[in-house]
Formats: sequence, C-alpha cells, structure tokens
Amino acid sequence: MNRPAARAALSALGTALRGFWRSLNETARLAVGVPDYGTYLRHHAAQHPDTPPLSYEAFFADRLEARYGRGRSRCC
Amino acid sequence: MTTAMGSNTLLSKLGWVALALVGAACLGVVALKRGEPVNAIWLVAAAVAILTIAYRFYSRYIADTALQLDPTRATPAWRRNDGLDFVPTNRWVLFGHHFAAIAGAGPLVGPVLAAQMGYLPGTLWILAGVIFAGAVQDMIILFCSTRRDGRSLGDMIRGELGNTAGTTAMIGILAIMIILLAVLALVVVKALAESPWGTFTVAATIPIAIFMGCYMRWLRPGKILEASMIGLVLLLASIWAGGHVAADPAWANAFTFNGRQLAWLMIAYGFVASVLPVWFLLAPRDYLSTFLKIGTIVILALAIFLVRPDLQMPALTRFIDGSGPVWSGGLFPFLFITIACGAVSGFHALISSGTTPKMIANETDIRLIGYGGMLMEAFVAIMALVAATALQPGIYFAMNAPAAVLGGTVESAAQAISQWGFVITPEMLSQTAREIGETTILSRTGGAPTLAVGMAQILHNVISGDGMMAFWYHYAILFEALFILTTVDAGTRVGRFMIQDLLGSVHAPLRHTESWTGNLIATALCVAGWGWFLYQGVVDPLGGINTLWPLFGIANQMLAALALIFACVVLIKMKRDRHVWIVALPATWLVICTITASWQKLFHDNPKIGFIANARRFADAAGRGEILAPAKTVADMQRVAFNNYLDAALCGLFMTVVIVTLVFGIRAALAARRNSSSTAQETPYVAASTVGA
Repeated sequence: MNRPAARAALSALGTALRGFWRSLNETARLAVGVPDYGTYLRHHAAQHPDTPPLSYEAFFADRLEARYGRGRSRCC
Repeated sequence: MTTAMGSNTLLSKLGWVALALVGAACLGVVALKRGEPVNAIWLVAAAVAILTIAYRFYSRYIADTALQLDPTRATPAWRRNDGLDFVPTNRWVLFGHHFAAIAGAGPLVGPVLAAQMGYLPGTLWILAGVIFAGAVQDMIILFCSTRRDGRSLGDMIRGELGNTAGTTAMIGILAIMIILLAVLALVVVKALAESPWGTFTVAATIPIAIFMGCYMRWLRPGKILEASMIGLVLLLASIWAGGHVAADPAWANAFTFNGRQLAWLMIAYGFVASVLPVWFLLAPRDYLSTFLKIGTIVILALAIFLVRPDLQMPALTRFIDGSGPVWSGGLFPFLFITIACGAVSGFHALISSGTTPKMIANETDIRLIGYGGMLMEAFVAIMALVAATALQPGIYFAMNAPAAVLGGTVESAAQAISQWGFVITPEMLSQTAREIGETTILSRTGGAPTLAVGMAQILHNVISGDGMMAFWYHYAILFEALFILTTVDAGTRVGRFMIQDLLGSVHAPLRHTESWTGNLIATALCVAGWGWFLYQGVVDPLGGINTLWPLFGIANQMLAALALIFACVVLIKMKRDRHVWIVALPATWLVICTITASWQKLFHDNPKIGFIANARRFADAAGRGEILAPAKTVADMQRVAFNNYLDAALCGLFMTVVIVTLVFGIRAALAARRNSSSTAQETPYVAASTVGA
C-alpha cells in the first residue's frame, strides 16, 4: 500500500475510534441520567435563539434534580 | 439482484436453523446429562442461542402484529423535544440507559436462592419467563407509555381502567417499594454481619462518595467520568485496606457488628442519605454503583467464558418437594415467585414508563430497548445461577440454610448437610471461610455472600495469587452492597414523595417537596415502614430472607400482573383482539402464581409456609406459657405472632390489589368490545416528518 493511502486509512481509523469513544462517553453519561450537552445547545439555538442557554454547570444541576426528583423509580 | 437476495435469505434461514439446532443441543445436554457435572458453557450457550432466536422472531412478531410499530409516527421525544427530558436519542445509547436502570440486585439474588432446587428449574423458568412474560411486559409498557407522552404506569392505569384501579395500583406500588427496600437492606445486613472487612469497605464508600460529590460540585463541576474514575480507584484501595482492618484485632473489633446493630445503622443511613441534598452523597454513589455494576457484569460474563466452570449442583435436588432449607414451599408456585427479576419483574413496568419513553427516537427502537433490554437482564440472571451452582452444593447449603437448622459449628453444619445427601467436611467449611478472609461461612443467607463466593472462585481462576480469593470475595460483596445502598437511599426518596402525595390529600401543605416538615415526616414514615420489616427479618429465627423474599417476589409479580392486565385492556381497546393472547397468556400465569402463592402464604397448614399457621403456633404456645426458640420471653412470642399476622395482612393486600385490578380490567375490556372503534387514549398521530424527525 502506498503512503497516502496508508495515511488515509489511519485517519479513517482514528475518526472511527474517536466516534466510538464519543458514543461510549455519551452512553455512560446517559446511564446516570445526564443527556448530551451539545444536543441541548443545538436544540436551544434552533428553538429558542432569543434566550441564553443554561451553562454546563446549571444544565448538570438541573439534570441532577430531575433524576432524583419526584416520582423517579429505581429498580430492584 | 433477485438471485443475490434469494440466496441471502436462504443463507440467513440456514443460519437461524443452525443456531436453533445448537441451542436445542446445548439445552439437551443441560437437561438430560445426569450423574456427572455439566459444564456451565452448555447452559450459557443454550441461553444465548434461545434468547437470540426469541429476539429475532418473537419480538419481531409482536412488533409487527400486536403493536404495529410505526416508523412514520412522531415519538414524544420529537414532538416535545426540550433538550432535557424529551430528547431523541440513539437507540444503542438509550439501550445503555435503560439497561442500567432495570438491572439491579434482584436478578442476582433470586436465581441464587432458587438454586436449592438444582440448576434446571431456575434455568427453564428464566428462559421461558423472559421470552413470554418479562420481555413482553417491558416492551409493551414502553410502547404504551411512548404512545402516551411518556406517562407513568399508575397514570396510564388510571386513564384506561378508571380512578379506583389507578388508586389501587398506587397503593400496590407503595407497598412493593417498602418491601423491596426492606428485603434489599436485609441482604446487605446479612452480608456484612460479623464481617469487619466487608463493613469497612462498604462504610468507606460514604466518605468516597462525599468526596466525589464535592469534587463535582466545586473542584470540577459536572465532570462525572473523571470523578467516577477517582472514586473507583479509592474503592479498590478500600478493599485492600479492609483486609488490613480485618487482620488487626482492635480495628476489626471497631468494624464488627451484629445483625441488629447493622439494621439500626442502615435505618439511620437511609434516613440521613435521603434527606441530604442529592449532589452530596446520593448522586455520586449512584454514579459509582452504576459504572461498577455494568463493569462487573461484563467482567463476570468474560470470566465465565474463560473459566468454563463445571456445575456442581445437580440438575434437580430433593428439595423440589418444598422442604428446602433456603426457602419453604413447593416448586409451584414458589419457584416462579423466588425468581422474579430476570424472568419477569413488575418493577420494570415503572422504569419502562419512566425516562426511557421520553427519549425513544423512533417507535421501531422499542423492540431493541424494551424486549432486548430485558433479555440482557435474563442473561445476568443466568450468570448468577451459574455462579451459585458452580459452587459445591455442600458450601451452598452451609451458606444459605438458617442457623436454626445448621447449629452453630462447622461440625454440626457438616453433619446436617451430609444428612441431606451432600458431601462436605467441617475442614472444607473452615477452609473456605479462611480463603475468603471471613471467620465463618455458615448461614450467610441472603444470596449476596453465596454469589460473592461463586464469583470469587470463578474470577480467582482468571487472576489468581496469594490472597486474591479474599480480594475478589470482598470486591463482589462491595459491588452488590454498593448498588443496593443506592437503591435504598434513592428508593427512600421515591417512597417519601409517594407518601407526601398521599398525606397531601389529607393536609395540602404536606405535599410541597420544599417543605421541611412534610419532607421529614414522610421520610420518617417511609424509613419506619421498611425499617420495621428489616428489623423483623434480622431477628427472625429462620433468617428473615425466608419470610421477606417470598413477600417481595409476590409483590413484584403482582405488579407484573397489573401491568399485563393493563396491556390486555389496551390491546382490546385498540381493536387488536386477535393478538391479545400475547399478553393474556403471561397475565393469566402471573395472576395464578401470585394468587396461589399469597393463598399458601396465608393459609398453608405448615407454619414454615403459612403466616397465620405460624402466628397461631406462637400465640398458642404463649397462651400455654411455653417459650419457642428463638423467642426468650412471652413478649418476644407475642411479637413474633404479631409480625406474622402483619405479613399475612400484606399478602392479603397484594392479593386484593390483583383481584381489584382484574375486575376493573375485565370491565374496561368488555366496555371496549361493545364499542366498534378504538377507545385507547393515545396521543393523536403526528407524522415524524413534520416535527423534524
């Protein structure tokens, strides 16, 4: 295999690994009740462009209250 | 093109036939081989093949016929997208979220207790139960909730079956919550009693979690994974330190507690942890336990494939007649009560109508997340069964039979167990205790210690070395205790909110979650509720698990029966009568099981099974002035009698809840049949394409 092709294959592998790591991260965070902050920001920018979005700290605190708030069951 | 597709389908068909043959062959080996130990890999391979086939064919059949999942229909995640609660989520990411929420201690403990009948009854029930009942329930409730904007089970029952049925369900849910917390707390108490090593490591999780909480609050706000990694390293260090604590007489003494002391500590802990702000202790502990839980399940699966232990327990033991020492009662109905989680768990109906339906991106994902998620839990239950039955039966019964049966010494225990036909010597019992770094393994009931010894023996074959057996044992105890404690504090909070709601209907200000009076009163009531049953279990002569686990199993199956009756009504209202058998079949089975089991727990003549018979035995003896062990005074005797009447009342309540729901279900179904069009209260159809999906 020539060099540019090898480099392209490596970079494709790198992208795939990064993507895999990102979704693993996202899965782990959602498993404890914290959804993706980037998705929230994109949603907010699209739907409510006139108001500032929550900061990450406020977003995190909000999700924390939601997870342990009223009526959230836990399993046996 | 057509030829390529044709040969593809043919190839795929051949593949499925081959998988079915492999599964059948493995199950044949498991079921029919007698006299010599069967390797666990046969059981695991059979389970994997059968569950895969069930997923491919049965869940697709349900999705296509009864539910008619519609990829063009907008889910609540799209219609109400707010970036917070309602977020369209990748199906695999959501699968992880859902599985982490449903998998708890239940599928680990139930199969261990059921192992007293041999490995075969438990295996067959887990496989049949999950395919036709458990996974069906999870999938259909997830479907119903997704079609109703993510409403909760209680709400949906109120909507489709009426207010009375809804209120009955709410009372049932509160009762199961109390029993669940009591029995899980009892499992931890039993695992930590007289064990300084275990108690130290579990106690160490409190400062570790508080440190993580402060770290995520002030040092590095919201850095969950970072804080969890630090917490994990500290946890492993605390296991190592626990060994030194146990080895030092003074320190060991400071961390040695008996069951009663631990019960009071648990009650105090449950109260404090659920009243404190969640970021301080509850949330960080939850993060740790969630990651440790998933990680350990993966490690255990890999280890079973690597080690491939032999199953030492026979396929069937003599205890299928109902005379077993671990729990009393015949195979029917009590096997189906003992293994609830892993086969069918009513609690999942609460999870499937919780956060998951608000994040479903497409209706067709319901199949993977609802049905597939439950199959994963069944696989966890199979692994727990493997770990328990890979132990020598003598060790298994030494750990799980109550002290009243075994006597207090290794000699008396070995003799009692040998009389049941399982070979064990006193030396083997002491040797095992030494290996795992404990003073004794006798009557360590509750399932957790047994699973921990089983896991330690398997993991020790992967990473062995001097003292590693004890390390793995305490790792497994920590793993179980950690997420049970998380359930206890988070569950106490949920119970508190339920009680505040109930109190609020009497005196409105008590409902406000910010009100400290309401908060403290409701928390105290909730803790007192489960604390009562916990303490009663700790002082119970037969070890408490014997009494409380069947009650919990009945409660959990009762909830499953409720959910499935509700599902029947929904399908009938949707005019899908032709497919209603899919849910009517498991609903009927669960109604039969819960009613029979409750009836026997109430009225059986054998005081080991019937609560009322046992209460009478103590009350009558007290009347004659006799004292029955373990009671020491007449007042003790009267308390035992009272507690048995209380358990009986609870059984009666569960039975009533099932019957009331059944009556209202039938009424709603008949009314729906008189109507010629669909009467299900779904949110109206919105095309996915119109909301950006």
